[in-house]
Amino acid sequence: MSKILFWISLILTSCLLGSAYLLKGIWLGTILLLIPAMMMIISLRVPWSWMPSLGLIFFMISAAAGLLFDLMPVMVLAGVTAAIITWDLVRFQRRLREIEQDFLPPILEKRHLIRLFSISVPGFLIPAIALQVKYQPSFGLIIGIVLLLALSLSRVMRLILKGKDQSS
Amino acid sequence: MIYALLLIGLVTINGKLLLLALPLVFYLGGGILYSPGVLQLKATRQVSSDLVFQKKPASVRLTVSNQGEGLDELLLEDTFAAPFTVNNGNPRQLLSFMADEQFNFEYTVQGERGRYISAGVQAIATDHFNLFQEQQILSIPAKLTILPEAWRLRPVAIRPSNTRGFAGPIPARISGTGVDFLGVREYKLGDPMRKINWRVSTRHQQNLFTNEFEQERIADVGLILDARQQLNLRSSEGSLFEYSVMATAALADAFLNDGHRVALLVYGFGLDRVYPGYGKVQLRRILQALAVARVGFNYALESLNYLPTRLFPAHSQLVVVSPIQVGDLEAFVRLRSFGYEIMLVSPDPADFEARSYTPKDRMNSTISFPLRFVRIERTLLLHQLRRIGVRVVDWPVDQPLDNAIHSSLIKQPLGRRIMNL
Repeated sequence: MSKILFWISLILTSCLLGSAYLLKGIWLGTILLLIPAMMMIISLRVPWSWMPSLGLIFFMISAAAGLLFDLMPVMVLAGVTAAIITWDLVRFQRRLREIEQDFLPPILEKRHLIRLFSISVPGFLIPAIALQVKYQPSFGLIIGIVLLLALSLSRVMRLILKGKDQSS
Repeated sequence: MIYALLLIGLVTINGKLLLLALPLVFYLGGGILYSPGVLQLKATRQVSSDLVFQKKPASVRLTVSNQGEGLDELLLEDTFAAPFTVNNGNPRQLLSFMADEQFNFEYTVQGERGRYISAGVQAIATDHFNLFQEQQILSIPAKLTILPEAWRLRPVAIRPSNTRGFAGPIPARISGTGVDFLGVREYKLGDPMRKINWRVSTRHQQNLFTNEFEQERIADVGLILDARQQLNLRSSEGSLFEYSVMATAALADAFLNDGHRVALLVYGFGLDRVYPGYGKVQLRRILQALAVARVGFNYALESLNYLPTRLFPAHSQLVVVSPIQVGDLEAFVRLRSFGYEIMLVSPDPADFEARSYTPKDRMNSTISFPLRFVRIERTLLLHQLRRIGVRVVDWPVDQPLDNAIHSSLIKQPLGRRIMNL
């Protein structure tokens, strides 16, 4: 099931971002999207753990560049959400392959997918709704929010790295 | 990536770029929210048997219970399986583990001889997005000893000078119950009529004579396994020492089956011994000692001259399993002079080495000449050993040991030989 969803989300990512670029007539953007798409496909088989993350970075760069080129923001946002889903499913498939488990409990896959979609849907909807809101915060407020986010993120990164050190 | 988007969004004052970071923030937030807490797992392990023969599988069953909160994803890895080949099942399991749930899994393993001790089970719990981890090592000590394979051999005929006081297969040169004719003696009241030797009796008018038969008894057998590193050869086919171990196991089984009292000495890195004993229990002890036997180098035990003969009863049978080298002749001479009957079972190192080369390589003079030289040297050494009364079994390891023993010993009759130095 997760493998099928991987292919669907990959095709969706490529189509959404590619279409956004095509609608603006930027053919190069569409063609360059093949690179991260191929990276995601290859990373299912190769042992390099950095490959899926690099693929996601390329998708994000193309999305960010697309916003700078004034592409349709909703399509770009949807493409980014689908890219995150693809990235997560690739990592899940790789983990299953490493373990070489013959029988995967169906409940594990089901819970993973439910969790993924329960996070991805609001992760798309809330920014999509926010895009409709025409509110211009002050620069100070923006700086404050961004600083707060940056601080929280740095704590989270420290926690993640601490967890990875313990496991290694 | 989130930082980069926030930075670019700030620099370009583009709110859409800031919004682009939100799906990633949600993903990260999901990981934080559902990150695993401290693990409270309990596990037990059952191994089908503590002792298993080589090439026979052992099954391992693990039961893990969660006494803490539910875990999104839990990876269990049984480190016990690490040195083995897993035949069925999987020692690694990924599952979703609810609170108060119990999980069982089973797998079978097979491995090389040795004693294996396990630390425990590694448990790594993560959230569904694999961003946060909690780890716990569940300490469940377990032990598995894989015994060497003991080939079945036909009874091996030995004839030491001294025997023990129990019935067995070895003629003891004293009269008693047996089947081999020993001599005649004067008739005593109570002797069975069927044992009277009428032919001799007719030659004597006044007396009757009775047949005497040779009593058959068991003997003391000392097995000596040579574990000196300098004699061990390794090739693509394995290690010559492994053949020596299997030969020792087979001989121990054969001698114990005949009822003899068998002891073992492993001579190499140190002196590992199994004191003399009888029967299946002794066989188990010997196999366990052979399971952990390893080659080693010890300057003090470089040659067989330092064999501790006090371990073995005087005039008993010694069976040495060794590829031997030229310097060992002196040790055998000394042992023969003490009155020991010696049998040498020698895996052929030259043949073992030669088989690791292709037929084309063997034609090459840089390989064929040294091999011929080694073979000549070995043939000479074995001949010298036969001359001093050692019964030699020259064993090319690609042939069954049983055939090698019986074809070699049939040409070397039992009985005392005059030492001819």
